[in-house]
Amino acid sequence: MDCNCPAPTSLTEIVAEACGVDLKQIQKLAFQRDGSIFDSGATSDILELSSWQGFTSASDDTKIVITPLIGGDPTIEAGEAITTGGGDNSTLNGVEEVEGVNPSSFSCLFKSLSSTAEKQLKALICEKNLVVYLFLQGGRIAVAELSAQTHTGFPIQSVFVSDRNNAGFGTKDTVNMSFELQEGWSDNLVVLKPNFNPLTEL
Amino acid sequence: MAKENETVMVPLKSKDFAKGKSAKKQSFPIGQANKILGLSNSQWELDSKDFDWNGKEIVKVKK
Repeated sequence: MDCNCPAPTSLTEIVAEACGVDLKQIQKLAFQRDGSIFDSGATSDILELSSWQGFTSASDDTKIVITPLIGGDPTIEAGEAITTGGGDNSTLNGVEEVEGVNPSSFSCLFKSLSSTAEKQLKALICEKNLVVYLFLQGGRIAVAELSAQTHTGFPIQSVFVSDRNNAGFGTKDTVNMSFELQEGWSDNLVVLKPNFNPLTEL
Repeated sequence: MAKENETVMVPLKSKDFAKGKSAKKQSFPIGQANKILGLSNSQWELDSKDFDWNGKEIVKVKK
């Protein structure tokens, strides 16, 4: 959150929304190196399968890779406030001061992955500038809107993919995945309903 | 037969364009074009009479 000058001349209007916005369950993830966009004014309308096929088949920085279906527990925990002071002499009136916001944490687990898929997921650990597209239940996609025509994924860092968990008889092996979404990641979030089902057609 | 040479660009056009919009056209390196047309649910088709898709790969049409 940038609170430096210039300050707005008045309070920023808050639109009265009639409809709620909920991601519901995140069921797949798509990763891409930062720097590419979907542009419906050009040749890459995010709502069309052909645009995604162009990116998933690429062999350069624009390539998109898609995970298997998430096996369970997909959650995003919003980053908490970074504060200083409070109840002591270090701040004015002893009031706790908000100085920033921590990144948000995504985590999930994959079940019964092959070692090949596990290893391919782990390759993401070495990537430093990634964006993620969230494929949601109902075949929706959560993305960051740059303009009415252009969209991209949410910037992430610190991707981690665990080794295989095994809990023994009558259980499925699991692999944990986590990453950090940049502070403010949901500021420009939009949920889109593409003309195809990203959960089954990608 | 066209070689897997990334310098050869193959023009494709999309099949899934929305009503009222014309098909989008884009050229891809032949390796990428092979991958795209090889997808079981590919939404692209060749947009050039210089190439043909034999079901497995793009081949150059002999004239």
